[in-house]
Amino acid sequence: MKKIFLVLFCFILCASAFAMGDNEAKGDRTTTLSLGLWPEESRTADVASMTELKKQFEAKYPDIAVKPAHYKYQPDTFIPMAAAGQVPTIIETWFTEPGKIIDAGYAADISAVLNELGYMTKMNDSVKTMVSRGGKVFAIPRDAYALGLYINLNVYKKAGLLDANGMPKYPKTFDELAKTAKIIKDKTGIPGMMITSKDNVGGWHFTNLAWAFGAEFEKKVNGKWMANLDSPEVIAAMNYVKDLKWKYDVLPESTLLGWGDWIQYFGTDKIGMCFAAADVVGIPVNDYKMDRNAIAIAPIPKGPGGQYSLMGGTIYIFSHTATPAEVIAAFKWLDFTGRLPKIDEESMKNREIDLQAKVDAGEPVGCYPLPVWNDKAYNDSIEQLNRKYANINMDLFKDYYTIAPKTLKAEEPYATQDLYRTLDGVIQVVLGDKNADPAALLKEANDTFQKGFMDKVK
Amino acid sequence: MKKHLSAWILMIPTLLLFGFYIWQPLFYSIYLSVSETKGYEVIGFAGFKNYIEVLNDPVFLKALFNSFAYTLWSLVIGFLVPIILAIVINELVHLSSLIRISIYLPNIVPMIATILIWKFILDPGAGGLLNSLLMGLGMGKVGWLQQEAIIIPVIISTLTWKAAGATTLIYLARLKGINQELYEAAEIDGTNIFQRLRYITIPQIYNLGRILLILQILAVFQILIEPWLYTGGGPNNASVSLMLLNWNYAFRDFQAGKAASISVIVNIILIVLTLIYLTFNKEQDE
Repeated sequence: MKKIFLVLFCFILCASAFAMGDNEAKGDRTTTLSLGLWPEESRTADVASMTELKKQFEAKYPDIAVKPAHYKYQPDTFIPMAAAGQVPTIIETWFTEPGKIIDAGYAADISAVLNELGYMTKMNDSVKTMVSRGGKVFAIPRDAYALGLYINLNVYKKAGLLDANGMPKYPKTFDELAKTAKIIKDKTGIPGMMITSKDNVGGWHFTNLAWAFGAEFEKKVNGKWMANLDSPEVIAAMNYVKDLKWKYDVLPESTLLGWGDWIQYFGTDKIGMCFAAADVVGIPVNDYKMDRNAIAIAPIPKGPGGQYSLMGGTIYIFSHTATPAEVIAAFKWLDFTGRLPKIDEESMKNREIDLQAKVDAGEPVGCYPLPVWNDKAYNDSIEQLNRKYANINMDLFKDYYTIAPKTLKAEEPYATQDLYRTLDGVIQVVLGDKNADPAALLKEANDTFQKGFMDKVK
Repeated sequence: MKKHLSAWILMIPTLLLFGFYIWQPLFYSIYLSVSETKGYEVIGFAGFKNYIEVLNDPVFLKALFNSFAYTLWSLVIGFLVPIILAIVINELVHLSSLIRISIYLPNIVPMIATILIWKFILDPGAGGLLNSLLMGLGMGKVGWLQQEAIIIPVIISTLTWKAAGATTLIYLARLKGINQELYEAAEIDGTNIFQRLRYITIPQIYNLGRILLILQILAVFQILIEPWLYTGGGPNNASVSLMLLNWNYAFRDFQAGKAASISVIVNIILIVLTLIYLTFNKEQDE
C-alpha cells in the first residue's frame, strides 16, 4: 500500500511540474510589450511616473498590454536571458555592445520598421554604421555623450581651487592636470586624480588620454589593419600615467579600479578628478548621496597631440524573439514618451513628466545628451527641456558643452573591448610596479593584440 | 521487468534530474565545443576550430599556467593546515568544541561576504587592516592584491581560511575513530609524541589524506569566483584561471563554442591528473 502511495506521489509531482504553464490573462490586448526600460523598484519616483505613463499609453492603445520588466544591461546576465529567449521586447545598452549582440543573433532586425516610420534617414551616420550589419539595422540610439573630466567641487574647495564665483580652476592641458592633482594631494592628502585599470574601463579611458598625445591604436597599412599600441605616442601617454602614480603620486593607493570604483571614490570625496561622461552624473548622487551641486564637468584636457572627447552613449535594442507587432508596440512607446525624433505635444509632455520625476527625486537634471538624430528642431527641444528643468548650475558644465561636441572622436574601430582589455593589463603593471617599462610592455601588448585580434580583421 | 516496475518508476525523478543537471550539460558542452556558434545557438560544425583559436589565445597559456600554480600553492599552503589543526584539536582537553566551531565558521560565511571582508583586510592603502598592522610594526605597505608575484598565494591563503575548517572536521572524525588501544600500547612501549604521530596517527589518516588530496586538486584547478571577484584576473592576467577564461568567453564575449572548448580541455586535464594519481597509488599499494 505504502509503495502505491509513493508511486502516486511521484506522478503527481511530475504532473504538477508540467502543468505550471503561462496563465497570464491578457484580455483584449493582443500584443504584450515587455518593457525593459522600466525603472528598478527602489526608484519610487521613477516607478510612479512610469506607472502613470503606462496607464495613459494603454488607454491610447487598447490592443497593447505593457508589462514592466526592469532590466539593467550586463553582458553576463544578458547572454543567459537571450539564449533562453527571455529578453524583454526592448532594452537599453551601451555603444560598445551592439557588435557582439548582433553577431550573436540576439537583436531583431528593425530596418523595415525604421523605413516605414521614416526614421532610417534621420539617424546619425556614425551611429547607424555602429548598429548595422550587411545593410540591416538592429538598434536605434537613445542619446550620446562625450567623455569629460569630472571635478569634485568639495575636494577642489578644500584645495583652494575655486575662484571667487565658486567655479573650479580646472586643468586645460594634461600638464596642468598633473599639477592640479599635485596641488590637491599636497593640500588635502586626497588623491587628485583617478586612473582606472579594470574591466576594460581602464583601456577605454586610456585611449582618450592617449589620443591627446597623438596616439592612433589601429591603423590601415597597405590595406591591412595593424595594431599600433607601441607607437612613441602611446608610450608617451603610458609614461604620463606612470608619472601620475610614481612621480607626482596623485593616484589612489589601490591600482585595480573599475567602473564601480570611480563612482564610490568620487561620490565620497576620495578623489579630486576622474574621467566619465555626462550621462552618469546622477549615479554618485543616487548611490552615495553626493551633493548634486558638488559636481562639475570639464572637457578632457589638451595634450601634445590635440584635444579629443571619446563618444559613447546608449542604444535601444529589440529582442530577437519579439514579433513584428511587439517591435512596433515598442516603437509606439518610444514615440509616446518622446524618445524618437519627432516633436508633438504628447511626447514633449511625457518627456517633461520624466524630467519632473528626476527633479522630484533630487537627481541632477540639466546635463543634456549629444544629438544622435539629424533633426535640429528635435535636438534643440531636448536641450531646452533639460535647461528648463535644470536643478544644477549649468555654468559648471559650460566649457564641456562648448568644447566636447567639437572634439568628438569615435572609439577605435576593431575589437574595441579586446583593445581595452589588453591596455588594462599594461596599465595594471605600470601602476603596480615602479620599475615597469611601458615601452617593453606595450611592445608585448601590441604583438598579442595583433596576433589575437587584428590578424583576423578582414 | 514487471516485477521491478515500481522501482523503475521511483527512479524516474532521479534519472531525470541526473540527465538534466549532469549528463545533458556534459554532452552538450562537448557538442558545443566542436560547433560553430552564434550566441548559444549552434549554426554548424566547426571541427577543432574553437580549440585551435582558444589555444592561440595569448591569455590561454597564462591561464593554464596559473591554474596549475593555484593548485600547487593550494597544496603547499592549504593541504597540511587541516591535518595539523585536526591533530591539535584532537589533543586538546579544554575548549576543543569551541575551537572546532570557530574553525568551521568561515565555511558558513557566504562567498561574497568572505571576499568583501578579505578585500578590506588586504586593501593596498594605509587603511587596509593588514597594512595598518604591518605599518604599526614599522614595516612598509604591501599591494596584496595588485602584485603579479604574490597574487596567487594571497588568493589561496584566503581560500584556505575559508575551506580548511570543513576538511579539518573530516580528519578529526577519522582521528576520533582510531583505536585508542594502539596509543596505549605505544605508550607502554615508551614512545614519545612524535613517534606516536609518525607510527600511528599518520598511517591511520593516510588513506583519507590521499582522497582529500585528489579532491582538492580537482576543486582548486577549477577556481573561478575568487580571481573573478578579487582581481578580475589581473594584474595583467596574473591571476586569470582557465575557468575564468571560460567565463569570459561565455558571458563577456558571447562565444559559447570557445567557452565549451575550454571546459572540455579542463575536463581532459583533470581526467589525466586523476589517472596519473590513481596509477601512482595503485603501484604504491601493490
